[in-house]
Amino acid sequence: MARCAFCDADFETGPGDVLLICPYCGTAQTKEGVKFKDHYMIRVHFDQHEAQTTLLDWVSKQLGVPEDLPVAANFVKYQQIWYPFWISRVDAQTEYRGLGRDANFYNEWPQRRGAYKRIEFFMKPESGAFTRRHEINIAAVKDIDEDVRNQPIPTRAKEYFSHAHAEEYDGKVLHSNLSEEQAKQMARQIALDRQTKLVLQEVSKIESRDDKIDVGETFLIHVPVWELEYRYGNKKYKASVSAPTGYVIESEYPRSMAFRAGGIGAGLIMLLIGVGLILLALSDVIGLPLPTLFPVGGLISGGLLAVIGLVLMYKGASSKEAKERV
Amino acid sequence: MGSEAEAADMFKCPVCNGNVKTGPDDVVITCTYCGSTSTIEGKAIGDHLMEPAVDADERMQGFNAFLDKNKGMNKSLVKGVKVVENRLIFVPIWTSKVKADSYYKGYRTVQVPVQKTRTVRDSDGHTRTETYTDYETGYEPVQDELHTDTDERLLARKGARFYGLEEYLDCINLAKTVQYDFEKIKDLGPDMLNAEIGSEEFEKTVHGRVADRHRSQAASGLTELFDCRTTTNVRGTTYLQAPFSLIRYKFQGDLYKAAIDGNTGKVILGEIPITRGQRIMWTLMGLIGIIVAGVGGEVFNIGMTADVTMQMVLGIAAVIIGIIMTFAGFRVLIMTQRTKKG
Repeated sequence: MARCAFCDADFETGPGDVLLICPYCGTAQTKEGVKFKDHYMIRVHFDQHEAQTTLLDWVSKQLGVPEDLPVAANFVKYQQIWYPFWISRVDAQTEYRGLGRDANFYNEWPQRRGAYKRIEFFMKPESGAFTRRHEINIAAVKDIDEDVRNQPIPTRAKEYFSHAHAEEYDGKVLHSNLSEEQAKQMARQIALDRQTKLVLQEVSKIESRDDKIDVGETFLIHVPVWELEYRYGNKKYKASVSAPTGYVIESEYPRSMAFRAGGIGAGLIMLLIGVGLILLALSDVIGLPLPTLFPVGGLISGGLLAVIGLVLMYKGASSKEAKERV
Repeated sequence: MGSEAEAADMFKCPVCNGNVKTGPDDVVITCTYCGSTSTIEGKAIGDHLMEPAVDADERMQGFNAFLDKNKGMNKSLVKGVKVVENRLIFVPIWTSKVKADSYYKGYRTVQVPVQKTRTVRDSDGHTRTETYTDYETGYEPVQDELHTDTDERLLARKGARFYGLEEYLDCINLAKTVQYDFEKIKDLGPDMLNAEIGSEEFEKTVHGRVADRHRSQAASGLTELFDCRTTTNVRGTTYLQAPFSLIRYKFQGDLYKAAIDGNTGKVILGEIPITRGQRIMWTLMGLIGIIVAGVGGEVFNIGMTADVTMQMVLGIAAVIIGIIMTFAGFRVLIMTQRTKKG
C-alpha cells in the first residue's frame, strides 16, 4: 500500500514498484512522494469491442482456423493494461586506443598476381573515435511478455499522461519497477555496450578508452495493450492487441478438427506412399524380395512426398501463436 | 486531476501568433493555421517541402488496381473487398544527401590453380608422368576505397514504425515535392504529425547509418576486414511532410492491410488473401511437380544407361522443374497470405 502525496488516497503497489501512478489523480510519483513530470501516454484508438473484432477478423485468416470463430468465440477476459516504458536519448562519444589485427603477405603466386602463398598476422596499435546517438527503450516492468516488450511505439502523437483517459476503458496502469535514476543508469550501460561493440569491430583488444556518455532526455511512457482471452470450444486462447493501432501483437488460436485431421491424414498418406516408393527404388540394395521399380524417379518422388507429408503432419498437429508483422 | 492541466501543450506560432497544440516531444512544429514551420524555439527551419496528396477515391483506385494485378485466379477479389480503414496521415521525414568516403584494408582468400605432375602406371606396366591442376590457397591483400553519395531518409518520430515504412521511404521522389502549403491538402482532412527528431539528431543518425553500411559492404567480400575508416558529409538536409495511408480491408471476413503512397495513390506493400480454390490449384501443381520430378529421374536413368546426353539433360531439367513446382505449390498451401510489392 502507498499513499498518494498529492490526493492522499491509498492505493495498491507491488513489491518491485518504485515509480507509482496514483489510480485516483494519475500523478506519477516516487515512493518518497516526489512528482515525476515527464510522463506520457499513447491514446487508445481501439476500444474493447473494436479490439476484439479486429483480433478475430485477423486471426480467422490464419491457417486452419475454424470458420465460425468470429461468431462462436466468447471473450472471457478483456483487460486493458498500460505498460510503462522508459525512453532515453543517449549521446555517446568514445575515443579508443587498442591493438588491431593486420597482416603481412609473402611469396606471390606467379599464376595469380596479387595473391600470396603465406600470410602472417600481427597486431598494430590503432586509435580512433566513434560518435553515435542511441535511442534506448527499456521496459519498466520485469514481468512482461517478449512480444509486448518489443512492440514498436506507435506513430501516434504522444500526450501527457491522463489518468482519466485510462479510466475510460477501466485500464490497469502498471507502476514502474525502475526509478528514473535506474532507467538512466541502464540506458547508459546499454549505450556503453553498443559503443564497445563498435570499437571491437575496429580493434581486437582495447587498451584504453575514454567515453563521454551523456544520458539526455529521459521520459516514461505508458502504452495501452488489450490483454484478451477468448473461449472457443472448450479451450481458452490468449491474445494481446495494441490499443492505439489495433495491431495483433500476438495471439494463440484454435485449429479446426477438420484441418487437423486433414493435415495429419493427408500427411500420413503422403509419407507412406513416399516411403513405399523409396523402398521399392532401393529394393535391390536393401534386399527386399520385390522387383526394383523406378530406381531414380522413385527416390526423387518418394523423397519429395515424404518431406511434404512430414510438413503437413507437423502443421496438423502443432499449435502456434500468430504475430502481425509491422 | 493532477496531470490534466498540462495535457494541452501550446506553442505560439512566430509567424501568425496562433496557438498550436503540440505533443510533448515535438521539436519541429507546423502551424495548423498558417502552415509555417518552425523549431520549438521559434526559429525558422530551412526548406520545408511536402508531397501533394491524392484524395481517398484516388487511393481506392490505386488499391483496386493493386488487387486486380495480384488477384490471380481469384476473380471476385476486387468486388469482394470491403475497406474498413483508409486514413491519410502526413508523416514527418528528414532527408539529406550524404557523401561518404571510406578507406578500408583487409584480405581475402582465393584458390590459385597450380600445375602439378604425378607418376602413373598404365595397364601395360609402363610408367609415365602426367600433369594435373590442383588448387591451393592464396591470400590476397585488399586495400580499397568506397565512395558513395546517397539520399538518406529517416522518419522523424522516436522509436516509431509502421507497415511498409522502409518501402515507403524508398519510394519518395524528391523531384515531386513542392513547398509546404497547408491550404492545398487541408480538404483531405489529413492527420499531421510533427517531428520528434530534430535536424541535428537526424544528421548524427544518418552518419552512423551510412558508416555502418560502408563497413558491412567492405566486409562482405573479404575474409577479414582489418580497418575501415569512414568520413561523412551530410548536406542539403530538408524537412519533408509526406502523405501515407494504411488501408485495412476485409475479404471473406478476414482482415488484411496495404500501405499506400499518398502522393500517387499506389500501393507500396500489401497483403493478398489466398482463397480455397487457389490453395487447391497450387496443391495440384505441387502434386504434378512430384510426378514430373519422378519421371525426370527415370528419363535421366534410362539416358544414362543408354548414354544419350539429350535424355540425360532433359531428365535433369524435369527433375529441377518438378522440385521447384512441388515446393512452390505446397508453400502456397500452408501460407497465411501473400505479401506483394506494388
